[in-house]
Amino acid sequence: MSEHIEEVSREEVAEVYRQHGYLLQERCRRILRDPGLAEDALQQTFIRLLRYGKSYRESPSRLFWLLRACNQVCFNMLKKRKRIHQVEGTAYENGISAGPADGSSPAPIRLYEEWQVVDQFLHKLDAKEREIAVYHYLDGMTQVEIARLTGWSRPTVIKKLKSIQKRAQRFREAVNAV
Amino acid sequence: MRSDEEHPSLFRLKAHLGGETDPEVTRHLEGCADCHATMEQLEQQREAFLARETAPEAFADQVFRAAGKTRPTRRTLFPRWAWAAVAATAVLVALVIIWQQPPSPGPGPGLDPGSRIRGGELQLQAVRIRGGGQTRHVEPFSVASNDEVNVELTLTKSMRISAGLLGDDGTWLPLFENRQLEPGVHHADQALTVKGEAGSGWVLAGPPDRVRQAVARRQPETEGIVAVRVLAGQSPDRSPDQSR
Repeated sequence: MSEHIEEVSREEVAEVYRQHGYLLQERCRRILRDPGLAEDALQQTFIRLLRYGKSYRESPSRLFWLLRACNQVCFNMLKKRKRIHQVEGTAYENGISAGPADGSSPAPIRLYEEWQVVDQFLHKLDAKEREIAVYHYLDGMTQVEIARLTGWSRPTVIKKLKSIQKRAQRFREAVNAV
Repeated sequence: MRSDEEHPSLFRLKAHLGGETDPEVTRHLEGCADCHATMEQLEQQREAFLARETAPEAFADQVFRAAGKTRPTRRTLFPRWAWAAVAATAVLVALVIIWQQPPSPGPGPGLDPGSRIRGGELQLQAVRIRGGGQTRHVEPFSVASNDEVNVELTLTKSMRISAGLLGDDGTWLPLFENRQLEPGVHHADQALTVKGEAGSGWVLAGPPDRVRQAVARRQPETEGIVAVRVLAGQSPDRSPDQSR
């Protein structure tokens, strides 16, 4: 194991944090809804980077590698602690935006609005659906990108996304009906 | 990719900004004001993050320290601590802390041992896990080989905390590193396991800057720190611990 420490240097960790830390912190906060837990998740994501530096370097997209590692950490935490939906008003709601806020850009604000709905039933999705939901709604990945980077077939990704969208629609209707 | 073609995905823009240079995105950005604006917004978010959060180098240090806690290369990270694990337990050693120091006579002068409350905000109890049972301590307590040590922190308000084990030789083994904790009771996810001949020290907790100071000076008496003395080398069956 000692070679792992040599594999990724302190400078490299600092550089990855400088380039991508803001995205990782934000998604940890969005998924976990707890700033304290999110800080832990961020650190654990980087510990994975130390441990699996070779795989990181060989990844076709280093950002995707980090996002996937971050997913695993966050979902493990959720599984371990069980999600407390009542935890509200965390830092991300107070100015840490997930993306463009003016809606003028091609990065659709619609995705973030959709995420807020999907987030309400995230715990009911299966593992693959959950991951796809995060990649699509939080990271802004297309179906093609998700299929290419995860290695899952495109029909599977499309099917899962459609299923998530249907659930979201049902959820919205149920809320409106109240 | 021209500006009248499909916009690159948000993910692609983020990757591009993060250094995964994509010639198509570069070309698209030259002719697309919307995507250009998105990139600027992402860049602003990144700058705000870097201005607000821990400096990258300090964060890298934290990551290396935290990783050291759970990897079996501890010998290189903490050379002053001897390793007593045998091959059969090597797999478990990733979670093991080896703590080898001569016994200490007891609390240092001037330090009131035990759990203390500062302004009612933070209370510390050291938790010793032995043979599947847990005991909580606010008075000096002993540890022996295979005991695990954790902390129980009770907070009445949200605050940033560091906590861990400070050996008498100055070795610092963190349980919480600069963590924002909400009001309530908190334990570290992973306890420290004593392997081999245990040493003496302090379980301590407090605001991160005070804890850093205490560790640097090897002085748990530092203002604002709560600490419980840990004594080494006593056999479990002779332990004089007061537990609750």
